[in-house]
Amino acid sequence: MVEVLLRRVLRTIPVLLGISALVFVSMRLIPGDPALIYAGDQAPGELVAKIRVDLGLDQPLVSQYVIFLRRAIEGDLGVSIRTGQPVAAELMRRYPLTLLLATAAILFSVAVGLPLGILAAVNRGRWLDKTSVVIALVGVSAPTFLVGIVLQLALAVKLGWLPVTGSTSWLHLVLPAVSLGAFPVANITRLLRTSLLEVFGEDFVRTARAKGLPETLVVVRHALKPALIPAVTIIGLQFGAMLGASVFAEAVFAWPGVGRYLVAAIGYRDYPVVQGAVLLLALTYVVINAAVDVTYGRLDPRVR
Amino acid sequence: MATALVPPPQAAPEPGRRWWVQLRRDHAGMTGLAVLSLIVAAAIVGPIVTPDDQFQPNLQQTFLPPGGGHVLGTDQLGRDLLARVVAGARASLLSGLAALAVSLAFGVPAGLVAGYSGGRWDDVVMVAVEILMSFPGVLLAFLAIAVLGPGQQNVVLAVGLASTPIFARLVRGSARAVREQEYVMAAVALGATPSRVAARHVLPGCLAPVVVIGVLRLGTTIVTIAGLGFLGMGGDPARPEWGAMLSQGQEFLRRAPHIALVPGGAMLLTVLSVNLFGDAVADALNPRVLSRRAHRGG
Repeated sequence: MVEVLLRRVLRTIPVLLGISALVFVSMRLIPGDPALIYAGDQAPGELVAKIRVDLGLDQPLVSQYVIFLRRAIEGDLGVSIRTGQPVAAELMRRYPLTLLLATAAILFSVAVGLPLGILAAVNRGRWLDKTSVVIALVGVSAPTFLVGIVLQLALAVKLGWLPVTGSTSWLHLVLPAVSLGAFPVANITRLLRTSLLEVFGEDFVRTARAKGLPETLVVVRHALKPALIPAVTIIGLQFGAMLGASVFAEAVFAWPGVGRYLVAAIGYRDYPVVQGAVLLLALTYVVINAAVDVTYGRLDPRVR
Repeated sequence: MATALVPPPQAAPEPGRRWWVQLRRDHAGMTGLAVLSLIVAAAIVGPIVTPDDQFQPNLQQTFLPPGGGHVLGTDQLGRDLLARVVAGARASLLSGLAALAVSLAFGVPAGLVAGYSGGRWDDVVMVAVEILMSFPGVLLAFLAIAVLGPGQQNVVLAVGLASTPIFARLVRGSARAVREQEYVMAAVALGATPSRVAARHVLPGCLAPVVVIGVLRLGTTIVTIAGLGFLGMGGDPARPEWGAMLSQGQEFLRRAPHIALVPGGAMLLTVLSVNLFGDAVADALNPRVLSRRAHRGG
């Protein structure tokens, strides 16, 4: 087990190096002299030259990348061009909010998607199944920002049950989490339904039924566990994908997470912030995917 | 003119036709196709027949609800929402197709060469694909926008680049399988050059999965483009684009919710019908595809 874990962790290293190199090179592709952007248009020549040395811009590109990487590992992501604040600290202030939002969304989608998928499979072909298929189809097709706006209109603006925007209370978390979770609800439902229906055809399920177990016990005790294995993978992957999609929920509900910070930074062409935010979200994504792989290995005896 | 016009023999449907026969039996898919055709027709005809003044701001007619002179009402600047949403359909469909074309233009050749020739080029492509696919797609698009700057063309390019690795990997896999087919070996034995073998013999064998995944990705692509428009990355906010319209409509949810709901509804209808049709095409071309590999757009 430890070996599997270790090997998986080692495999993320080249990917992380690749991601950091890609982000680094992208930022260098942006037209304009970074030192001049930092210093501002009216800055005196000596200041620009000093910043160029400070940023290591006078060195060859490969050394620049190594410097960038070493500083990033030490937690130094440079300072924001717009505010002059250290990027790492700004990101860490917002990161918990994005993680909280993504976690709440995945909990919501599991809480709704699992029962819905089970009910659909058990009632195959009946109205409940057909309804769940329609819900899943709409959920997969509707983008987060559209779901968000419709929920905001109905539950916040019209009915006034929940706050419209902001992040000052737990109630503020509900709408962004639900709109972010709508897509995985659809995905989990579809997948669990399909995999349960497959498991229902297996011999051991027939045996369980033949020995007279009530249908509920057949599902809960025998069919659910093998059917959940692919679902766990999807849940994990969806959790990772939320780090990208949370940007849209954050935008609709003015949720002050990393995504909103990133979008604003792209607008202001605040490159150190773009660089740091993309790195942070991509790193989280890679770590989550590695964790999913390891969990999968523990759940599925064939992999273990 | 002595040659008799012999009618071609009525043969059983050739293999290439069978998928179409199956597709026609898929009611959900055909409904999707019908709705999509209506949307496409509206997107083509609509902007031609719409008088120009419908797009102009008219401060005497702001926030009109649906019904009356303006079927879908007017927006905060008094522009006709029907005219704008139809123009938005054209923009969305064209942008979505253009972004797909970008992914194909980069992804298919890269995957073909990697899969057919193998070796070092294969390693390079696969490492690149692995790295690019370890990002959430949206983040990759953001990164591209940060480099290219905002604007609709750049949004299309960014979204297209973000899904390039999917097609590169797909085509590489097929090319590796097709490479081993006897007819390819025969072409090689006959002395065809590698580039000719790759383009004329291997590539056609790789196209069916590309079509399936391409149709399935179209919905995601449209949604992602609208999402970037929603975030204000599409440039000129006056242009009728669904994402930007939705974003402006959000400001007036209390006063005139239809400004957001009209483009939102159009977007949902389009993506739903594209996805229904895409599922049906996937089922017809490849019965082993059990469920849609849904990818998240916005």
